[in-house]
Amino acid sequence: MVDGANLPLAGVAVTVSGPGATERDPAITDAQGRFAFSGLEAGDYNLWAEAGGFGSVPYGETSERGAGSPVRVGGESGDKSVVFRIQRRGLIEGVIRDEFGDPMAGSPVFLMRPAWRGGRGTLNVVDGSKQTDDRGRYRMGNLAPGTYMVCSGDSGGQGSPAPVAGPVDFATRIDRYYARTCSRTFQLSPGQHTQIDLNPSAVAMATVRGHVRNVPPQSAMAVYLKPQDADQQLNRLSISTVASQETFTIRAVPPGHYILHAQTFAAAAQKSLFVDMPLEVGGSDIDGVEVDLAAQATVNVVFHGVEDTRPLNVNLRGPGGENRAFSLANDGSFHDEGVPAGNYRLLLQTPYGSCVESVKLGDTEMRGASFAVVAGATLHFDVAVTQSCGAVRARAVRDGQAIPGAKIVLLASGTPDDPGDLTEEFTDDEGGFTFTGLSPGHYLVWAWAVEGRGAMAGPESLAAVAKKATAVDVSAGDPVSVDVPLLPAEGQ
Amino acid sequence: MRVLRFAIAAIAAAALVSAADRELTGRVVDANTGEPVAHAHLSIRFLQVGQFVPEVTLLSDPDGTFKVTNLPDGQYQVTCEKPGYLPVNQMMAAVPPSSKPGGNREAAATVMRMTAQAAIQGTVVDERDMPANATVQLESQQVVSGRRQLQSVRSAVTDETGSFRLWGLPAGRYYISVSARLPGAFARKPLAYPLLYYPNSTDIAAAQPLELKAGDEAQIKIKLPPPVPAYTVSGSVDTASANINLSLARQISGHGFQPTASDLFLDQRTKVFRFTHVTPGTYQLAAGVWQNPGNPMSTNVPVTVGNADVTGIRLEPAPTGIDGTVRMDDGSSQRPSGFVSARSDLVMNGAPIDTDGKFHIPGIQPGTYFIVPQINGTQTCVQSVLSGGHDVRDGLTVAAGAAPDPIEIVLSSHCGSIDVSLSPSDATLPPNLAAYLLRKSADELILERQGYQGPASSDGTRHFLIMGVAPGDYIVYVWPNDAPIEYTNAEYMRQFESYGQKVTVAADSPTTVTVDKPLLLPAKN
Repeated sequence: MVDGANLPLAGVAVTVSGPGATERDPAITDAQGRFAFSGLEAGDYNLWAEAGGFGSVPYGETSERGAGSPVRVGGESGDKSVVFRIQRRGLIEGVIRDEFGDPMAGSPVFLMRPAWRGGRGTLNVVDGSKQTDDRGRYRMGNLAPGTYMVCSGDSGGQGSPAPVAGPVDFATRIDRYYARTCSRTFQLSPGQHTQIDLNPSAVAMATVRGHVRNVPPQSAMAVYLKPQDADQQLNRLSISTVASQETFTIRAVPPGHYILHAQTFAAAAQKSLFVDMPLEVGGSDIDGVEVDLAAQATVNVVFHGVEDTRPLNVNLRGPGGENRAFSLANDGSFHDEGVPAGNYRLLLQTPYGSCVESVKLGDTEMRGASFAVVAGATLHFDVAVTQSCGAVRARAVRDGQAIPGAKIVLLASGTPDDPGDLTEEFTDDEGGFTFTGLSPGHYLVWAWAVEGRGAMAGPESLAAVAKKATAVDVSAGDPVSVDVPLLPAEGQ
Repeated sequence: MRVLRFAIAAIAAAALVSAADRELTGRVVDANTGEPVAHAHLSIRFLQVGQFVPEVTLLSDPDGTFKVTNLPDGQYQVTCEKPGYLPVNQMMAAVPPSSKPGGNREAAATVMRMTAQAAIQGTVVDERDMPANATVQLESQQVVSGRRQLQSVRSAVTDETGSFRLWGLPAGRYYISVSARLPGAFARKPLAYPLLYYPNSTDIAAAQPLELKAGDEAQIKIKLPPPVPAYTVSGSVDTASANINLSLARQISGHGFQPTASDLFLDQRTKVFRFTHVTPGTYQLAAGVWQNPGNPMSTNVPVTVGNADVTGIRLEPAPTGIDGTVRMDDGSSQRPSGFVSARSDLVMNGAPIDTDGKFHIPGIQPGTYFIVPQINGTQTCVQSVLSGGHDVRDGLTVAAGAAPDPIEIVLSSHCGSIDVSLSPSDATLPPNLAAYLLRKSADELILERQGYQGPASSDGTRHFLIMGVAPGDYIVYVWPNDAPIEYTNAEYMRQFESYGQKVTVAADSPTTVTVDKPLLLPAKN
């Protein structure tokens, strides 16, 4: 156990989790920083260190909070020796002031980090629990070094009402809200204390009111606006409201392009109804939006060749990358009568040791393909599952060295421009990761570094690195080994 | 004809204008200095059921004034907030615009007085002066339903430097307790920090209050004593339910219960539980189990931890609660609505009366309870509260392991009423006076009914009408409805004997009683 300067850390509690290591007592590092766990069976283990001053830190800490790299124990390597390096924690604090320079008390503050999900760079909220105190101050301590962005406002999206100065004419007033206000992304070095003050400005925002037709009696319903301004990562957070009595009001909507999404939450034996419609919001209120919930399409999936249906999972990935995951009937079949029209992909998770052999829509092979669902249609898929599967042991390699803790991404269906089934992992302490349960076929793999100054989580999209993909053909049987050149960290 | 049409148009226009030509004006001042408070946030909400009027938020001007014009007629709730002050809530009626534009604006405006907050800034360090991972709990004595009790006010968790801040506090006396967790490196050692009372004692008898005045910013430093040996309390819960709620609360003599900082492990498969890091003391181990909605089962076991682990506790949750019915004494089918509460030294629980006249008060532990029915309406009063053939209004004893006999509340329509007169006074009396009708029950006083102010007589006598009073002997007081008076405490009330007026109420007849002066506690600042 060492710190960033390779000096030993004593008195740190190290916990281990993995096969055969339940409720094992933590090991405490000695004066030389040493710790040991003995009698572990072969397998992948996760290590955590905990001590005052840095909280709880996983082994192989990456920029994605909470994620560490497993340690492989056993096999030909026998006993395993690791260096558990803990970077000093940093601190971000600051004051939130309003447009008049007064401190804002009780104002929510949230912290985000760049991440990479579903084929593109995005931002993850890593701490959404803080509020300013009565002096307008916030404080976020015990932070791992890395790239951050601090925002004031509600991470859920609705702005808080902003006061106006002077006498207000109720009849002609314009509602103003404090929108989310964020710092630039910045790098927090090990042990760094940084001060980030924010000055949210109040902006006039629109209220969208409307009415939803065809709502079944006694249905709960949600209406939300999904921003479509793809250039603004922050706006990917949606603005929502829970509607009652078929009418809805969404306040504090910044101008932009949106998809208005309405859905009912169906009780058992009822159909959920959905609708997506585009909505343009300018600087003024929009009243009387009429939303029609319509009959939806039906999708059936029947599995063949599955003995134990756990864990069997069906996920329809819909327009805009939205996932519709459903629980299955007891016999493992899947039936959904409430699929809104749009383009979908069928993403399937099969029980351990098995993989998908074929996905038939009538006589057409649809494995990995996207398909259009039109309103009112019924689609029936037959999925054959096989035990004849392959695996890939992929190593992230730079200058001939395998790099632990690198992001490694396997594209199983679709194309880099239109990714389908993507698996995202981190390389273990030996710089590799084994993807199992793969259907025989053609795959693309990428790896990139997630540490280093200015590092973002990955390329803006897979299309941007399409030419740098490593192709691998998988057949049933033993794992195929492949070395994947490590792409440099991006997004400075 | 032409004239008539003009008149109708004029009336229509007037109606439209009066619908939204009102205004609210006010002034925000510091309650202590009287100085204007600039940039206070004022939120104005229209209070009318079924009508949605958006909230208006504005700032007070540099001279503390604010004004909203063109409002619909009606009542508004005005909330005033400013960092460093306690929030103020006030009801205001929108008024027609002042006819004289150059008139005295300040005189007409409602004054909102903001009191400066108090705050506590502090650090908690362990015995080696290292920052501690602690929860700081703030309590103060408050009067709730006529009883003085220590109420939890606020809590804060220390950050990684051991610092905490508690803010937005009204002036008062506060008790501070600190529960701390061992650093991770020692998490598996059989040690724990005992609950610490400010300033530095593990004995609640030595706890000292922190006296905070408006505007105070107290700085405190708390040093934890070394951790003491701690033990394990373990056993199993006899249930098939996966919905188990276990708690171990420390019993502090004369001060109820305090949650502990012990850790709970519960194996959902075997229902075996284990509390670790339990310091020596007396505890109440409680298990609540929900098998299906509306049918909670629970059990309570006292546990004493000495210098050894306590093992093999078997918790057998059973249905608990008090069941009862409400009926009229004349056998009529009338089903009055209301709420029945059961109150002991430790708990207060209650349940509404359903449309069949039944109620079920859950979560009743062994002990002695006062059964307090609150019946809606002015024509019914409580004649008796029976259990097993006895009147239990003065105390129902619930034994361990056995549900009490069902309760039967008998109501009568042969009630009396009291017209309480308050003699005219030269002093300015607060507007929120109410009359309180108390009944002696064992060595406690019980609030039987409350009477609100009616129209005053021409000579300035105020009247309070109390309806639906069961025949019997009572004492009547008049005090402001927010006064912290410990009226259930007979000994405490003795000092105010001269303010009370005895009255006997007979069935079906009105009674009058005159109270000389209202009970006004001296204002504290």
